[in-house]
Amino acid sequence: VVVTGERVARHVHWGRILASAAVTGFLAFVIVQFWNPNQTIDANRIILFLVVGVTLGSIYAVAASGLVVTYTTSGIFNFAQGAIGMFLAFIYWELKVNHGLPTLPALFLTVFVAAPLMGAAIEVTLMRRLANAPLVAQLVVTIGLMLALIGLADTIWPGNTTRTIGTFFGSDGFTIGTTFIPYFRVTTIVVGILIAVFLRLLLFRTRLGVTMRAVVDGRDLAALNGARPERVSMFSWALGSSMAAVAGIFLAEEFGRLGTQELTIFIVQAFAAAIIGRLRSLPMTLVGGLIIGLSLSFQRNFLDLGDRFSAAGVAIPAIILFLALLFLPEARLEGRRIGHAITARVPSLQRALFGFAVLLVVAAIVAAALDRPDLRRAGLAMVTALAMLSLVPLTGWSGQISFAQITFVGIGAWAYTEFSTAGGRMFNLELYDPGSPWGLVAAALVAVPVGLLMALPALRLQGLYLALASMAFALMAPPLFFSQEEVFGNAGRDVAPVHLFGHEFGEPFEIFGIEFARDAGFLLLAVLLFCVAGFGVVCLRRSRFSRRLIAMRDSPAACATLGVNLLTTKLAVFGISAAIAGLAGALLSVQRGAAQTADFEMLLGLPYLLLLVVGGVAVVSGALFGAVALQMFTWLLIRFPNVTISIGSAEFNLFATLQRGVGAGLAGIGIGRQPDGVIPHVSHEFRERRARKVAARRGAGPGGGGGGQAPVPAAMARPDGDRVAEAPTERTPAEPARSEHPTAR
Amino acid sequence: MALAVAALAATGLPMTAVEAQEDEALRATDKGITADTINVTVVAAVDIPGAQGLFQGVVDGVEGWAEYTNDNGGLAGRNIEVSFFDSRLSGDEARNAFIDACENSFALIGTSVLFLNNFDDLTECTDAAGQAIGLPDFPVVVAEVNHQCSPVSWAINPPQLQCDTRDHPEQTYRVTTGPTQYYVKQHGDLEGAFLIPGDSESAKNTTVPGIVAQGEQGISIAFEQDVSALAPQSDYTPIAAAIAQESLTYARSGLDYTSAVKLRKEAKLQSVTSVEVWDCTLQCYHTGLIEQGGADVEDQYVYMPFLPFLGDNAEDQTNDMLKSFLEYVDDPDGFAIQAWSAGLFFTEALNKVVDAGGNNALTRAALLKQAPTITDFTADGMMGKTNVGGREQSPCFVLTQVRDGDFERVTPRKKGTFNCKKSNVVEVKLDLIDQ
Repeated sequence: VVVTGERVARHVHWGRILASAAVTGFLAFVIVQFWNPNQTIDANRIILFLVVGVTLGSIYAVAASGLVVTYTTSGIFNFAQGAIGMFLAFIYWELKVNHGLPTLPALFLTVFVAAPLMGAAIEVTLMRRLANAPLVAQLVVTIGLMLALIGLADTIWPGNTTRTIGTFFGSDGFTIGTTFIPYFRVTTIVVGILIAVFLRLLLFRTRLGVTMRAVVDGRDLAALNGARPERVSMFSWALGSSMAAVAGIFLAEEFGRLGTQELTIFIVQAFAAAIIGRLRSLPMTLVGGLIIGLSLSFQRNFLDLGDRFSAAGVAIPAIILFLALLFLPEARLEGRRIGHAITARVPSLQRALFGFAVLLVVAAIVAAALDRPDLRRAGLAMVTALAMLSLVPLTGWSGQISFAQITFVGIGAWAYTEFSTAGGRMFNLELYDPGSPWGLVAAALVAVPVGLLMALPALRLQGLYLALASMAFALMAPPLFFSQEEVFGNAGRDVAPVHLFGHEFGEPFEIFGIEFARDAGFLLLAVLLFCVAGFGVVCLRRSRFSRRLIAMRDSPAACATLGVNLLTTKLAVFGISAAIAGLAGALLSVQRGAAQTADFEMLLGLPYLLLLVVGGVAVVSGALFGAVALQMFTWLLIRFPNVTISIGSAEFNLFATLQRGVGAGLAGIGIGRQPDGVIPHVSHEFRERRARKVAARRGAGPGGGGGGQAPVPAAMARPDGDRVAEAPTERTPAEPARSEHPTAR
Repeated sequence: MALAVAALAATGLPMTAVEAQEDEALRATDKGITADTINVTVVAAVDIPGAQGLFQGVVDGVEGWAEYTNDNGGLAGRNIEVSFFDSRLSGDEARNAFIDACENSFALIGTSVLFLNNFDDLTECTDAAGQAIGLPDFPVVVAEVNHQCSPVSWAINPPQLQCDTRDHPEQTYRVTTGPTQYYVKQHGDLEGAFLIPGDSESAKNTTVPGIVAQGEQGISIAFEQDVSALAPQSDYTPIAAAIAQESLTYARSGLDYTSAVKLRKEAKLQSVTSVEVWDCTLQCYHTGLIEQGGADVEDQYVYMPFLPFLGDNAEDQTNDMLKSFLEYVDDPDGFAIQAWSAGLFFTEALNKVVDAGGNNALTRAALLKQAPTITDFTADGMMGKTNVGGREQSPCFVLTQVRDGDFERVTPRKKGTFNCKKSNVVEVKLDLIDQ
């Protein structure tokens, strides 16, 4: 055992050395390749580089500190941290500027009254029930909260007015070298350090702090030891909100004006700092912020990225995030996971075929009945459903959370333009005609190696860290890859429509005297491909492979012990997922008739995961539900543009507010109540009701006619052949809470 | 009636087609036209999460123009009816708007969409006769090359790209450099820092030809820097410090006014005193520049192809149309005046159709035929003479500068006038499409 342990340690040691050497080599290459020869290096330039780097870094650090505090004290990675800060910065503006309060009272009311109240309200209404929810549900709720807060802020404080809060101490400051440092930035740096010191003392030197960490590590154990988890958790969120408020106000100073987008999205750039701090160490988070700031400053002071990589500077925080995640210690194989696991139902083939047949018939009726704009919306919904479907095996079954599906969609679009639109010429051979359906196949195949590339970090990362690695991947792809002239270039690429036997999908046609408008053919093609891919996913669900995936999700350690090759299993599921997403990308580009870099930004992919989880992340119908829901908000607004609601004296356009992100946000928030998603929940309710009816007819049965919620036994065979493979694993009070969350230092 | 016309013609008496048909009852002559109304659609990205009201000015401008036109008797005996379609940030919804407008509207006015690269629905739109002749489009924002070169689109502020060269290894761009020539004349050769929009390739493409042309006109390029619209002010510290260190005399932000404000504020903090010309795009002609920037944006230059219309120095007393614009549009901005002008261009093209064939000659085909013939459009004196029909950048400009918290005309000095020297426009050759 000792020898094996030493070998593993040596292996890890050499692995790190090699990885460090690779990264160092890469950085050296970048510096040599892009060194700006016109730049003089003198003391002033170096001071400038350092001062700018430290200033920028401190802002990243303050933004990331709030994230770390929330995670340390609640165990939830809060995507809405930036949005909460943004909302509170608007409240500060409301108090200070709109109501004319002096700075200090306005600051006090925002940071010490409004922020704690908001944090406590979020904890009570949303986060409390998430303690044992799957990670994907936790992330989706916080993403939902983020979208809802942006939409709400846009509704309350419309963007057509300039709102500024000024800066602390105006433009006073001092000079180091030739660089002026204003006091308001010094304030940011000092407050960042003070907060780090204060929180460290709070968390490690006070009983409250120890209790806060204990509640995260083991809520029930902490309760057994006399802690009051609800109250402690509420305090944690109140504290996190106050941190968000401080960051939001400092950021608003830096941006010069209040904007919902800037203040919210900036936090994404600061993720790298939080990861460098391993989401637990505030001093290291400060160091992480400085690394980002100094890297950006170095690039601006000493490098010339040229035309090809001129936008690459934007990707620096994402690159640092990716590298930081690669250097995290390899995740330990986990034993049985505690908490609610998402149910992955096994549908019968007959039922699945029946469902897809119904979908095709409905699509045919819809295709004949709708006008062109609605046909295009329906077509887009089906393409989106296909992209969401790619997440079912990946996230729903194997528990690997990916924000990079939009990147695979983009790869598919590029592959289609390259292999089909370009005339099917490879190596000077005419392989197929422009618009050939073989282009769709090529798109799916080309996406596979990219999926495998993405899977590389997945081999050593799990859970949240994998999700963040995929996010970094998605953030890097547009500036570093999609915008290259060989891919979409500056002007995007035109895309050929799909042809089959001389017929162009999308052109009007007639069958049995029924006329189908333009774009109806594309809708039918998209539905057909969704059915084919969906049926493939259903078949996969019935295979040994999917059982391996689910077993791997539930207990990687047990799987490894039983001889399951986790490496090939993970690679395979990423490959399959990327192929489906690639196919969706090809269809998306065909529907749009063009493809460009802006279509494949990371943020555009967030609704894929959000609404799939709302629909049901482990079932094919969840993808359909999510995609239709996404289009529904737009459709409702267009059909009913003037429906208003009144809150007090204020009047809001209902569907415009929902479409603005509040709808998707509320749907995401709602998933906290039912992590399995809408479709499995409704299906479960339906089965329960039917079982009760059957039992009532027989005179006795579950619920006994009293409307009880007795669960269906886990492995109970159902008359129609469906069965539930994995039942939710309910945590008993005696069991320890999951220990995925790292202990704060 | 026909006999009467023939008799008049035979006598050689002058008679216009309008007079000949003025007794004829008005009727629906094409899609979007009824006996009483002409429906036009404005498609613009307005309700955007995080960027609320982005092109609201466009909608205000088109609606204001329609109201003004109707108050003055309408067009071709009909009232203008405006349908607004908010495309948000979705290229898909923009296409849906075009599809809808193709069926229900006579033309598009003020189109301002983003993230759309396929304009087939504009060019292949069928008229009432079923002919795929296209949907007349008079846009304000033409971000993508496919839109700039759409055969049925005439942007009120024509693109720099010469579309007949779009497939060449190097494309030709016509760029207005009148203000640059003024700067160089006033301050001598300048050396500058240029900020380029880093978030959007298409926005970058519209900025680069201008920088190259400025370089040829006497403003040498010290450095170019991609900047995100979402960058905090501290991102501008190295830029401001570099300007100070290299004693640059010119600085231009190719982004919107918030970027210019951040640059100026940071430059003040870093004690930048060498810059003689702070320059910015048309987007800086916005009340927000002064509201947000305050004293820090004093001396900021902004040039534009319109008469000044903001603040105390608005020139509504010199131009009746500008006066009407300010009466009918509550929150005037650069987008609103361009949208209003797009409406006036539509009016001019439509009147030409009516002049040639009468009120019932209104068809999209006739409008598409007349639009390219308008080569000296001035929006009734509100903007400098522009060859909108020929899609050529105008040489005309008015240069303003922020002085005492207001935009003040700098050149030409006389109110109500433009500098329209032909030499203001220069051609540069660049490869920005395949790059």
